[in-house]
Amino acid sequence: MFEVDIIRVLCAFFVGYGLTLSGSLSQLTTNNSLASPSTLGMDGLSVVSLLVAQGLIVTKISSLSSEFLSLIVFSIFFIILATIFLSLRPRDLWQYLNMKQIILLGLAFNLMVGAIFSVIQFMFIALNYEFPTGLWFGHFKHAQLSNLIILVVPCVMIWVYCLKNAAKFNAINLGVFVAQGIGIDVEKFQKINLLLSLLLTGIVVSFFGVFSLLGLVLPHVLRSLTFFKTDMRSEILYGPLLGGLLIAVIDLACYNFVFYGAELPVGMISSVVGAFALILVLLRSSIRI
Amino acid sequence: MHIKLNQDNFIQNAGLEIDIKLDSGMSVLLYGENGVGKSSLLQLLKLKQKDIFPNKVCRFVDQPKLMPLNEINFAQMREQLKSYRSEESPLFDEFYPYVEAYDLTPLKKLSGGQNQMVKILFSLYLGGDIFFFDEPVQNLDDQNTKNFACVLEGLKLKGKSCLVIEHQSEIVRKLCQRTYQLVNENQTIKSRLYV
Repeated sequence: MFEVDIIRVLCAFFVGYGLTLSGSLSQLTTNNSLASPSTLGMDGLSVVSLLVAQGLIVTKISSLSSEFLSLIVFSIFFIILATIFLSLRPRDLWQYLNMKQIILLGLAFNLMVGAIFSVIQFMFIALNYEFPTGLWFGHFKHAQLSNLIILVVPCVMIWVYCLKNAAKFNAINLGVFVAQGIGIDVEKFQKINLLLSLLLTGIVVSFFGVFSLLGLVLPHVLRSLTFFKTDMRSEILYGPLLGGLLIAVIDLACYNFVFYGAELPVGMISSVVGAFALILVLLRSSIRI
Repeated sequence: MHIKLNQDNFIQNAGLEIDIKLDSGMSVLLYGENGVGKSSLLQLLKLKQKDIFPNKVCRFVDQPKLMPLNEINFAQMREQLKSYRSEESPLFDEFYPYVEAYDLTPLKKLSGGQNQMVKILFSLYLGGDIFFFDEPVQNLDDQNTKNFACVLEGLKLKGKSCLVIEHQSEIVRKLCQRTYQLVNENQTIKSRLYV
C-alpha cells in the first residue's frame, strides 16, 4: 500500500527547494559553476552546529530537542560570521570576492569537519554515549510541522528578495565587471547572497541532516533544461520548485520501498549521485573555477 | 569636463594624480607601459562613477570576456538587461549589422573577437554620455578594428565622450583628439598630456 505523509512530503519539498535556491544563489552571484553549499563549507559549518548541539545534550547542559538546539547554535555562528563577513573591507581595487580561494577554503573546511566528525563519533562510542550517525545523511523520518514552518518562512522571504533583484542576477551572470559597470555594488550583493545561501543550508541541516552536493548538482540539472537554459531569473524564481519536487518524489520512494527493513536516507542518495555529478561537471569543458 | 583624481595607495603603495580633460564629442587616448595602472584607473572610475561623473551615465567596455553560466545569447542579453538602458540609442541600430550574424549564438560559444564586438555593441545599446574602452581592438581582426573605428567616430558625432586605452592600433590612435600618457613618477601615477 502506497503511503503519503503530507508533512514529510512538504518537508522534503522545501528541503529540495531551499538547497536548490541556496546552490543557485551561490553559483549565480559568484559567477562560478562550482560554488555551492557543499563546496563553500556551508554544510561543514552546519555540521559543526549539530556536533556542538549533541555535545550540549549528552553533557546535559541543555534539555532542548537536538534540532532546535542545533538551529540555535547555528544562528549564533551565523550572526558572528555575518558580522565579520559584512564588515571586512575589500582587499583591493577590484572589489569582488576571490571565489577560487573561497571554494578551496570551503572544501578544506568540509574535509576538516569530516575528520572532526569521525573523531567525535569515536569518542562518543568509546564513552558509551548515543551518537546520531544518521545526521551525516539527511532524512525526513522526524519531519514535523514546526520544522516545516521554520523552513518555509526564509524560503518565501528569500524568494521575494530574488524577485526584487532579478535583473541584478542576470547582469552578474555575464560577469562581475559587467555588473559593476552598470552600477551594482557587486561585493555587497555577493556577500548578502552567500549569507542567505548559508542561512538556508543551516536550517535544512539542523532539522534534517546533510544532503551533500544537492545544492551543487540541482542548478546544473536545471540549466540543462530548455526552460532554464537562458534566463537566470527563471532559474532562481522557478528552478527551486523543480528541485523541491524531485526531492519530494525521491523521499516518497524511500518511504515506501524499504531496503531489508531499513529506510534509505535521501541524503545518502544525494551524496552518491552528487559525487558522480560533481566529477561530470568538473570534466565538462565549459567549467571554470 | 575634467577628471581630477588625487589618492594615496592607489596600486602597490603608489599614489595617484590624474587630470584628464574630456569634453563632449571628444575621444581621448590613454597609454602607458604595461603595469603602470591603466586598467586599475578605469576600475577606480567605474567604482566611483557616481561621485566623479554626477548626472552623467558611464559605460565601460572592459577586457574580460562575457562568460555566463548559462546558454544566453546577445539578443536575450539585451532583453534581460533593458531596464539598465539610459536612452534609446540610434547608434546601436546603426552598428547592429556588425554583430547580427551571431546575435543568436550563445555567448559562451563566441570567439574572443565576436565576444569583444558584443561588449562594444552592448555599451551602445545601453546608451550613455561617457564611454570607456579598455584595449577594445585587442582581439579584433582588421575588419572589426575598422568597425570599432566607425563606432568611435559615430560616438564622437553624437557628442559622446570616449576614453580609450590602446597600444597598437594606429587607426584608433588617429581618431583620438587628445593623448595622455600614464607614468609612474616617484611612486605616484600621473597623467601627462602628450603633445
